[in-house]
Amino acid sequence: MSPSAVRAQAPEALADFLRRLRLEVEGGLDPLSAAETAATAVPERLRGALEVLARRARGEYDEDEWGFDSDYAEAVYPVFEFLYDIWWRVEATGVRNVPAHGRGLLVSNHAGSLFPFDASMILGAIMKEHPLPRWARFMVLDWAFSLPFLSSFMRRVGGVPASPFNAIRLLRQEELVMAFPEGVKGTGKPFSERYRLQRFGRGGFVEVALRTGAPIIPVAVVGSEEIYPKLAESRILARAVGAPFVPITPTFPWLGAAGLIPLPSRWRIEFCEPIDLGGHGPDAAEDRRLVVDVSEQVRETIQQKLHTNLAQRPSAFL
Amino acid sequence: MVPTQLGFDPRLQLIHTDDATAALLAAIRNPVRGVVNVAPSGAISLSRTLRLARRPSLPVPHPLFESALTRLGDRLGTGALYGDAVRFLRFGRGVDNSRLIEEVGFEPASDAEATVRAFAASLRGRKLGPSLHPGTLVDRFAGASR
Repeated sequence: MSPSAVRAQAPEALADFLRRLRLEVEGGLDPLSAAETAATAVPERLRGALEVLARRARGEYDEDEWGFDSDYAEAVYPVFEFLYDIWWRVEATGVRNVPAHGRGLLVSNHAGSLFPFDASMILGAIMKEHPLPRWARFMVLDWAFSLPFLSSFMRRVGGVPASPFNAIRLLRQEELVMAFPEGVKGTGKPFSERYRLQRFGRGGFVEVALRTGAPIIPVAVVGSEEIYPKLAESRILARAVGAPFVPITPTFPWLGAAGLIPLPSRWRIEFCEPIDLGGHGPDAAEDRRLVVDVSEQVRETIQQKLHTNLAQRPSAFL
Repeated sequence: MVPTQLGFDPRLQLIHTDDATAALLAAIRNPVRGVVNVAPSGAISLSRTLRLARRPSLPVPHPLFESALTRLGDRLGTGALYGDAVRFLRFGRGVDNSRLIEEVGFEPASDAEATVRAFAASLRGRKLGPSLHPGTLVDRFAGASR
């Protein structure tokens, strides 16, 4: 059972325990033996959960070389589910284009100035809608790992500092990897330029796919642009915290911490046909022309799917 | 109590002393050109390391941690070394040991987790401190090559 479920049950169990304790004391038992008897009243499930917590406190849990902690990820997953189902009412299509096992490189547009949630919602779509759900790893801007709490949180739920080296290593371990070639240029663009794909770097993701023989699955995400509409940015704040940019949104920083609540836009996620580059062989990664061509092909696919999904979405918020 | 940096949980690759000495021997027997990372396979987070070693952690905000360690480094006259340790204990580091395995032909017997477990087992009831100083490393090395 997840720690969050334990927390939810704890008050009830405590009340049970106290009720039982009072009965026993009133029945003539001394407080200590009464406590012992009352302890047996603690529900089985809660006892199981406490055992899980004790096991974690002893360090007896799994963690891979990237710091991914499956127990922890499972415990925070309900938060992603809430955002997916209720907050953003995500509609996902083409989830079956994601390979059920083995390596795969998901390439998506990137948006959500203050905190990009697109990786978590793509992950949610695969976990909820795929016939064989699997947890994907995602490439995160290095800078995010310099922030306390966010750094350890990202690692535990499957975030990895963005680099071709890390992507190749993950793919060779047969993982599903998410990459956002636009990077900061995608998240940092003003609201007026929403859903207009930025440059795809130098096509590094294509080189990664060629070297590892992993299929590229283009993903178009609609809804992520409206969660924190970036109206302007503050150079002074950015310099103060060392961030690539600090956005000014309708709610942030005006409402303080409440400004961090993302707006409840309506999302659509489309997974496109996989592009299999396996036939080219790993040496094709040196072929600049091929790399640029594939990169452009993926970019155009995503841009086109963004337009169709925007047209299919009844409205941005309702 | 082991001070850690609040909100950070670095990944560590601690190598077993037996593997460290065996790697040196392997490098002598099979010299290769260039830099070779000597590291165990896998990695383990500092928080889990401390849990396995049954040591409670004391999270300290990282600016305080940094200034404390830098001052300690200045006093000991090692300055920069401690600054690097602060960054290491904030971000951690994972190195690729494939050259060691493929070219030197040596694979560490204990992975990162097994090393910490062995250390924790040897530690029961004792205070946390370095299990190894240069003297024992030299002794072991001399013993192993004989």
